[in-house]
Amino acid sequence: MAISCPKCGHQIHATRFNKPAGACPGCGSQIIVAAFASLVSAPSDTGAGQRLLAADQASCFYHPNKKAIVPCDNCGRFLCALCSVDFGGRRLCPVCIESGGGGESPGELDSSRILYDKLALFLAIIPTFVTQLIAIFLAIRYWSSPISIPPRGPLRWRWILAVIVALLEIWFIYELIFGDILG
Amino acid sequence: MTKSTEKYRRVPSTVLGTLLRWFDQSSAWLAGDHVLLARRALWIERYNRFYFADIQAVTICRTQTGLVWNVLLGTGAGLLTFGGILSGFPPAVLVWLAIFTLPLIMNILLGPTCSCHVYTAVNTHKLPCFNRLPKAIIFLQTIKPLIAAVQEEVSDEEIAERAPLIPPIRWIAPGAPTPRPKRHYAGQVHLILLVLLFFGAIVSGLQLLSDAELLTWLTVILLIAQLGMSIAAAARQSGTDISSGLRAVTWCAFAHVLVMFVLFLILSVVASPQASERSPEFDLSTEGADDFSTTSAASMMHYMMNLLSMLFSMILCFTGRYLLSSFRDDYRLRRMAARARIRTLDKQET
Repeated sequence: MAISCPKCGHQIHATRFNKPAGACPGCGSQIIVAAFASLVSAPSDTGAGQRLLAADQASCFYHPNKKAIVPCDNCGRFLCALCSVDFGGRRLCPVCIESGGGGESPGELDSSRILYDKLALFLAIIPTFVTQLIAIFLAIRYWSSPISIPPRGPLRWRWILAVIVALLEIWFIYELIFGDILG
Repeated sequence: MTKSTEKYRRVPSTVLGTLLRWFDQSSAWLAGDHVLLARRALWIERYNRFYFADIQAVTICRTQTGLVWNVLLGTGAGLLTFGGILSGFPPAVLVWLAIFTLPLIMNILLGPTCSCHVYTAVNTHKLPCFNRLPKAIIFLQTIKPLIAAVQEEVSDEEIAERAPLIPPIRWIAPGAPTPRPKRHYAGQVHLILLVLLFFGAIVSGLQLLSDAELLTWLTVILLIAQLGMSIAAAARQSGTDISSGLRAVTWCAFAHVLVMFVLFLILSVVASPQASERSPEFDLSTEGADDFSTTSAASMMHYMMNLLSMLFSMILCFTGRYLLSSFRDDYRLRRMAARARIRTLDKQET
């Protein structure tokens, strides 16, 4: 891939690679380009998969005319050389990679996650009875489920805070409605 | 590709960057064989992984965003200090001064702004968490040995020699929509904005000579109109072929109007009847300077504001007008050339 200036799109000449900051010939912005070996190395040939020669041979799930060489480590589907993707030491099919590994490898393939603790805290702050109940439900339901891939500290303080805030607000709403009438 | 250790550690940062990381919406983490970019939007976190074996290049390009903020905040803080000196620093001015000064100090301490990009064989990805030069350089220094350990050993000279042989490629995913060409926009909304800036400059100039209430009302109406028009122009210019200079003029006009609006509000607070009632407390005359009262200080600040507004509006107006006319001329010439080319081709065909 050609390296170009992010500001003006002007292609940076290779003589400027791995040098101290220099001016972009297009816009004059100071730019540092750190180029690595994979920029100039040839891409590895993964192979397109062999054609089926005999009828009793196992075929690829996605390409019925191609010979299966390996099963997917996640879903077990037979894959040809084209469909088999080496991912973190495992052989996976493209569908499993796209779907995040089918939940069997937490953190390894996820492309997004819902931070339920933040959502619960947000709902707990909204002063309505329904959102408080949802916040408490989320805290109980997702207490032990993984939250974020990067570490976020040992304490689940958002959960605790969400539950405390929700309970306090429920008590406050209860007092507001029934406290004056009964008391 | 080796198996990921799944033990993520945060990419080292500067001292201030570490202290302020709680406010960051994106963060970068190092694993055994890749960099994980985590971007937060409310309660959803999205991830991008860049494997060391796949990274072809990292670019750090210095931007002017920090400098623009420094100028804007510095101008605001300077004007407020000037007004404060004249009026004896009433609490309202001190609060506004803090609002301008603290971000200014923080912006200076964080260092120059930049944009950091990671290049792989198939795409280019911006790393929004490395938007400050010191932080981005630390990131680059951290990942350089990690990438070098995974990829084959090639000297810098060899990379420089072999890199030009690679033709630039444009990778489009199968089924992905083809990028739309930029649509033409003649700059009508920009022209209205420039006209409003021109009238704003005239009214500011008149206010230097007269204190008529009508002019104050006109200023307010023009400020609101300019604010609305600058937002409309910024929205209109998105995705069009308009020149970068005109884009910059639009954003400068927006910033200018915003600053003037804030200053106008401050002045209205300082010169309010309550402030006048408090004048013995804050009046410099009690401290020995007999010449100024709060009202005179406010009028002095008002005078300065009008003067600056007039000058800045004029500069923006004439620069914008020049850029707009040159952009339109350029477009006309390009169109004529294209028509001539089509006519020649038609003649050749017939």
